[in-house]
Amino acid sequence: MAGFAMMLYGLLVVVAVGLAWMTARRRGPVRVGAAAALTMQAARRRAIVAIGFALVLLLAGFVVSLAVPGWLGLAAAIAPAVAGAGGLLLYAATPPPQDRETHARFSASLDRRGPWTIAPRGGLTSLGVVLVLLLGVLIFTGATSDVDDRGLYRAITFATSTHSSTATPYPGWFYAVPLMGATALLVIAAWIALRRIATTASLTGEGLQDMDRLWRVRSAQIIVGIAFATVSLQIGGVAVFAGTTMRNAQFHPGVPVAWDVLATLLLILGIVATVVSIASLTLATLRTFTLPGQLSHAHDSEMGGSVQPPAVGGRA
Amino acid sequence: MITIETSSPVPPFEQVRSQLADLIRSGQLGGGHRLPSIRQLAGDLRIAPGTVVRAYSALESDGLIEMSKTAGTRVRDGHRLDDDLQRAAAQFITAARRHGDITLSDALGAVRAAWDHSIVTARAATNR
Repeated sequence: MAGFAMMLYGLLVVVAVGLAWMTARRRGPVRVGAAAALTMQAARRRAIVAIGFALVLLLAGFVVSLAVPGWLGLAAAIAPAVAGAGGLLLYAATPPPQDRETHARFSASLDRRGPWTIAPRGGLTSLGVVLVLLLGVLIFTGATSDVDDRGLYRAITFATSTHSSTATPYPGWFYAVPLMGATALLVIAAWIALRRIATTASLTGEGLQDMDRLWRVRSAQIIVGIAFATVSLQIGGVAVFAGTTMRNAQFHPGVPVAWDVLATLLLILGIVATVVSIASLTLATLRTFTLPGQLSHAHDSEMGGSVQPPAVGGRA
Repeated sequence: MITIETSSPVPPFEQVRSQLADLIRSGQLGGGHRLPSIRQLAGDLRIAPGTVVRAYSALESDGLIEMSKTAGTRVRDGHRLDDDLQRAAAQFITAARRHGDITLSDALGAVRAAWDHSIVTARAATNR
């Protein structure tokens, strides 16, 4: 029942973000040239397939976790990071479209492209913040964890001179270490996907520099959005489990009230992070669907940073 | 931006080399500017990486760029042409354009002829 309610809340977040998006972006169709359209459509297809694959992997992780109780929920814990990494690696592995038309002229920018030059600064900063937050939460829960009856660091114990209480499952080292490894895999996958966007050959034909930069910037936003959503979901899961288990363990007198406050804060952090994760993934998905339709409305700042073409001699 | 024309009789290597050299000398690519990687430029221009390597090596031999495995390929300082010279070139182009459909090749031909004439004049003055 709780799972159904959570799915319903998640769906509400998706609908709310979708409505907000549609309200904020009432824009007409844009005509795109054949060469640009091919690249735009391929970029959109790649991103949609990557997100779909990631969602399938996430679902598979939860199913495996239910099917194999002996793994003590480890599959579900690392499912978001593995799913996100899988989706991003699939994105990177999908080859870009081949332009089969013959061209008389080919142009190239003289600005070096790399993962850091195309990725949105704000998105990267947000991703860095949630990564540090996740690491902090994992180190804290690992350091405060205790062994359960199997000797695994997945419990929390509160002991006073007269009472002692233990509760599981707590995201101690048993979950934290694989989670850190899976998160490292996710970061590497995001970097590989951004590198793929940066190293893809530019659009052929003249006057397409802005469109070329635009598809890269939009695609990088989607990639960073997927990574951000994944890390946020991990924070949400870890914080909710930590807060709930902490609360369950402190049922005897003598335990400092600070633990109760901390448990509440972790629960709030978990819920907020989960909502942010769903919203971020919804935004990334919406961006993929509108990729070809945003060309004429792109803000100048998204397309700057290239050496401008000179007026003489067909050079730039 | 640089552009190569597939139908041009000038080999792609020379098209890349000459355009980059012109951009460096005109100051549009300043000292320290990091040029794209060989793979990126070759991919964008749909030419073999070896062609870009050849162009970059020629520019390095001319002292216009420096190639490093750690810092990448960068434009070297001190190769921007004098401001007076660039102003004179701009004035020449303005004057050339007043003559209707004059091409870049025609304009360069006029410069070449004037250059040769100046050398002959200078030699004659020295011999006198």
